[in-house]
Amino acid sequence: MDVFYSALSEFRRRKFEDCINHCTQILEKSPYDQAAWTLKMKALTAQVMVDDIEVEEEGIADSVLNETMATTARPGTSFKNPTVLQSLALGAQRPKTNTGRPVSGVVRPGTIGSRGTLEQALRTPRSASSARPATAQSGRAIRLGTASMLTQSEGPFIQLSRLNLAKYASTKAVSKPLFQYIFYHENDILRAMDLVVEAMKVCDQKDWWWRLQHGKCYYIFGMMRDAETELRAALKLLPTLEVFLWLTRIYIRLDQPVTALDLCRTALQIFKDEVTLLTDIARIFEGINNIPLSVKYYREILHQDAMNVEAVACIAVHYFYSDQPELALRFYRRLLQMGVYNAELFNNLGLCCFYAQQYDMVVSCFERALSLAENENAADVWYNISHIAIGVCDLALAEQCIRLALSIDSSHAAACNNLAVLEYLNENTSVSFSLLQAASSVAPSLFELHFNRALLTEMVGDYHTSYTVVQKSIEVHPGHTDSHRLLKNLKTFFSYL
Amino acid sequence: MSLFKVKDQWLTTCGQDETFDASSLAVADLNGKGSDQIIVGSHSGYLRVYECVAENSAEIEYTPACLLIETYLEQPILQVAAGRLTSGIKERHIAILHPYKVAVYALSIIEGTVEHGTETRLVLMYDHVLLKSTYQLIVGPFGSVRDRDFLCVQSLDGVLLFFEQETFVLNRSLPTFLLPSPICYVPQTDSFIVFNAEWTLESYSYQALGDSSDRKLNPSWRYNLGEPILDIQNLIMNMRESAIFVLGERNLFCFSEVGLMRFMKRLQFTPMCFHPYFIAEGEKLMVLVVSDTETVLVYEKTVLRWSAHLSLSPVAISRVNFKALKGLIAVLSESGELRCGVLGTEPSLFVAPPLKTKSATHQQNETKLKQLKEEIKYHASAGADLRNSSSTSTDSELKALYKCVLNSDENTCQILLELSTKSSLSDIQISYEATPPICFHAPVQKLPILCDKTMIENQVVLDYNYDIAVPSSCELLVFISYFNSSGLPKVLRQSTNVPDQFIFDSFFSANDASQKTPGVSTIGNLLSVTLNAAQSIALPILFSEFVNDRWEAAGCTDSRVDFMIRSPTGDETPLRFTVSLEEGAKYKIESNSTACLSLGARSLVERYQRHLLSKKLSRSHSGNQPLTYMSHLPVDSFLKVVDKYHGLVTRQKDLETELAELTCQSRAVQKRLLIKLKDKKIDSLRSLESLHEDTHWSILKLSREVETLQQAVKGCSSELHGFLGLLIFLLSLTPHISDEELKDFELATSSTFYNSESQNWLDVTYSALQYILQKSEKSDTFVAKPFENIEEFKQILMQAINRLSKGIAHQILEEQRGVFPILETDNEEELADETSLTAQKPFNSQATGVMKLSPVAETTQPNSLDEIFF
Repeated sequence: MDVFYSALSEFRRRKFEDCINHCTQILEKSPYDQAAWTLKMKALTAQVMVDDIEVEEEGIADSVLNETMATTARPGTSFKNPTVLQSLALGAQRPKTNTGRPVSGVVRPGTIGSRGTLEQALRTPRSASSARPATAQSGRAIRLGTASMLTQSEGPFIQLSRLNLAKYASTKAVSKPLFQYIFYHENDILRAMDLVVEAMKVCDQKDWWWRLQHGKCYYIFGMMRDAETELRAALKLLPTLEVFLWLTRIYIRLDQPVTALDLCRTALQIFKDEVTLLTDIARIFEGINNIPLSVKYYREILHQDAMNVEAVACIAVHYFYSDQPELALRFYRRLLQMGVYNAELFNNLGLCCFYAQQYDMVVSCFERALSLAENENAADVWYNISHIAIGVCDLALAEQCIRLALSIDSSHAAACNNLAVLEYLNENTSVSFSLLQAASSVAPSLFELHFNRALLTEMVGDYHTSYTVVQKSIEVHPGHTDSHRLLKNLKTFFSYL
Repeated sequence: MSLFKVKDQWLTTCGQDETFDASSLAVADLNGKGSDQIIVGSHSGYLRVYECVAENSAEIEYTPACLLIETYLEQPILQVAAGRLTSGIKERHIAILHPYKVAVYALSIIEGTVEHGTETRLVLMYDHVLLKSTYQLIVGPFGSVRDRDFLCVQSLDGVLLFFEQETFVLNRSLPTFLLPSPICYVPQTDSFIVFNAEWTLESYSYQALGDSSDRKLNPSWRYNLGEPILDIQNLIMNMRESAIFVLGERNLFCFSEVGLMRFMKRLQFTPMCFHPYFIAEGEKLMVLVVSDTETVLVYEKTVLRWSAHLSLSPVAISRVNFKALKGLIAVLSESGELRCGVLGTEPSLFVAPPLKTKSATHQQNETKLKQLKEEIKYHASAGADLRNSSSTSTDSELKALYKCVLNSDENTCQILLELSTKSSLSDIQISYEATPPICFHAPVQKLPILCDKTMIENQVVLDYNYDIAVPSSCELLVFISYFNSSGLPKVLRQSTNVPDQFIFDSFFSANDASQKTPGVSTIGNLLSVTLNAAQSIALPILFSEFVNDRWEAAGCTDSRVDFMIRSPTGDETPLRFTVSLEEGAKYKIESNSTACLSLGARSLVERYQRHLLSKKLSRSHSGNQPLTYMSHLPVDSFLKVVDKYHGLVTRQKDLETELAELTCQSRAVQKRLLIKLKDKKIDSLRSLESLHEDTHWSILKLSREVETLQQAVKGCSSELHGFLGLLIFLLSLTPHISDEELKDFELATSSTFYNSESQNWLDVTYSALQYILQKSEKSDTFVAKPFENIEEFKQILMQAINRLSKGIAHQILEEQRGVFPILETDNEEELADETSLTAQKPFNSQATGVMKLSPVAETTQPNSLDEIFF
């Protein structure tokens, strides 16, 4: 059998190592075999290639470098300033993560970091659950380059520095795979950009694909406006899904959720019911805290793709926080049937069972959750068990659970808060104080911390501190009635003086 | 991930150690009996044809009779296909692609009397030997012929070879070709859909390909896909329309026959292979897509209709109609596993592994819980003990012997620290502290572990980097911090003094002094302190260790000793002790530096007491201090130093504010510069650059000024500290001053000489003094005014000192205030000040009253924060 045919067949069957070996054999015999050279390049690229359309975690440096963003956006037009608590009408409010984003159904890139100032980003503790890359280029992109270096014992396959890019760009058959090789395998974005520029000359700027790659390079360099123009031009050449998705990424990065939504809607007219677009819309709505619309789109996704884990999980969370644990339980059970098997799922199942009053399952669910829990999520599992303990009035157990949670993740602000309340009930007011204070420095976005602190300070008579702290609470959660009442009391008191 | 799994009905394994690829599987109804044959050819050269012979659906399973034929063709089989390929015969034949050959075989089946008696033969109809290595075989009615199929072979180097059944027609090389990729034929438009190396889909009509006169091929339509493809298949909808399905690496596309996109779907997984088909007479376009996670997904257009788990990772997928059951899914894996199955609703329930549950009885658990609870209780209380227990060391744990010995060269001192313990201690850190310019060779020493006994040495030197000439104290402190055997952190503090010889270097430049007027002081700007003594002791006895040859040479007598302080800066700081034996015993200490004075006074007192002790004479003077200070305190000169200090500190603050403003300006300029940089014009930057440079130089200049000032402040601090030390020492020698009061004063004034941005000695001392003065008011609240005015500070300081020196009067005042309506005149001023300070009190007391009156009704509530992470 022809060696080249074997290589092709292996490439198709995703046996890249064998394919590379066969190509190397051919290239040893005839070093100028362009086809074998290209195939080897493709195989090397395919080994490390990732679908880079999934949002990368935005680095801390990016948030500083983006000077084009409006600092005080109107509510609902920015991720930094989401519409305030539309979900309030539905009763319960979703808790927030340490960084101040509302809790999402799934952990995906972007749900961890908050969109705030650099100061905020630096102040949030860098624990396992909230670490963000500090540099502009994400860790994943950097890793791509280093991983590729390791795999090649006899040195790099292509000496990029010796490559006459103009010549290769004019060879249309090779230029596109070569670009991918440079972009994904070598991770040499600058050189990839050079190649794009040369190739655009050759194709007279008529190929949307090159325009998209140009935009991607700009995106990595953080030049969002340039990337936007490139992608807009690509859309004019041919409206393709990938360009729409990339353009959405750019608008999200530019903190323009409204524009991103408009774009997605336009794209939906061309690519009807496309799940990726619907997912983007749902995520954006979630990001600007418009949960009902987000859930609507997640439902739409389920109509299209009933196996979409993200949609199922997000809807389940929505039901849970709108006081319908029975419905949430059904969604989580479906996830379990689909083969999801992890601590988070069992934890959520346990919670749903508890709130749906199916007490028989609660203990076994949490037992499983604990047996599956790793260090990152064990703290959350213990924290939730403490809630069950509070629910059954076993405060001693609750306290121990919270202590366990804190021993795993000392920056678990919600656990700190609840421990403070328990300590207060044990009449250890000073301990309670210090816990609240520590927690509010870790997670300033939890209004409960501020409110509890305000209450305590008011009780001991430190009215001034109480006044300032309760204002913080209202700032975080403007609709909190108890905070308003406390503030009113304080104001009346001050006016008496 | 899927809810269900494919129910395998019919499964077999084709050969062993053979490889199969996407093109190794073909499904065709060869003899037109309504039952499909499955044709499988391996890369090793084996051809196998299967057919399910079962009559009803319940009996479908693989039996040996299902294998119609298995034969070895000697060459690797790259692809199998079927079609009406032989002229004159309407039956479908099998076309087989070898690397350099394409062959057409007829499958003849001779029915036997029993099921297993059926005989099948493979008859070669014709073959074409090719010169080029082949890649793909396309079968179709090229040129819109009826009831006939032609062959087209794509070679590895991009040449299409056409065969109209037995005859070779033409060859044509494809433009922009590099790597071969799948090609499909669309009968409606009689064209070939080709995917070229530019990742563009192109459609060439058969006519255009056949017209060899036309050198340049022009596609009838093209679409820029922008990604490599895995497979391309055509689905004929009716006579006119067809759907061209393209499986890309990330997307699934569907085009119409004229190149319009019908729909596309972005796949959220890596596809392996696919198979489009119709149900309900061409109305519903369905696609089977296999993902890399062994799942088959069934789409109707873009909507996911079903997904099921396959238990193998296939390279090819197709639909097959058996006689007994139609529409089974046939999949072929790389290693030759062939399975036909239905979707069904067989649940693919993931069974979670059972938890390791300990078979403990309820009682056992309860006892264990009890035990654990007790343990927790014990540890919790231990934690509280830990918090309350003092961290100072007890003698039993660590004993430290701290000594300072003068080296022979008299320039350095050796520190000997002997540590001994009975238990084992860990992480021992020894930090030494002394007043500058005395400093240690190694300020911090560490021991990882200590058992039994060890000796630590260190050196004391005078640091020449300090601007301070005279140390204000001879005391050397050592702090030993460690963890004891139970893991508790402890601290031990020890102190010792530097030998006087180390600091009192030599006698006052004897030659100079004697050459001028001997006996008369040549020390300018003298400060002096006179101490009254009950008994006079000659100086040579007190300073016995200094008595040597130089004693005489320096002209020291029994009543006068001159010293010179060893100074790193080279300044001459003389110190003179004189004793007058006439009217009682009076010791006079003179120097031009307060620090030196205090040092001298302390040294003298210590020596005096030691001498008395050695003579066992102290008892006779018990209750009374042997040396007392009776004259006026040098408060005025102290206040001068305070003034100086205040001036320096104020100046420093001013400079720092100025510096802050300048740096602000610099930042603004930098920001502006960055914004301007975007304009990419150099002209606009010029002026900013010079402004930036200018600011930069002023900042540098100012910083240097601040630095020098900081040194000055440090020097002044030392002076102040020294003076304060002297003052307190003298106060301690003054009779009628209670120890407690003195201690308060000492704590209030000589707290720390720590200058931070927000606080310095003046601030700290001011509020502390206010507190002392107000303490007698017996009020609970104390409001300290912040430091504002140096005059006020001095006033308060004077008050405090006055009160101290007139301690007895003060006591009377305090105790009998309510009784005596007329106060002592001395304290009038002081009292006036006190009332002014307490004027704010009513506000506070009232506030506390209200606090108690309105108990807070609300209670803290455990908020129900439930975090669901997923």
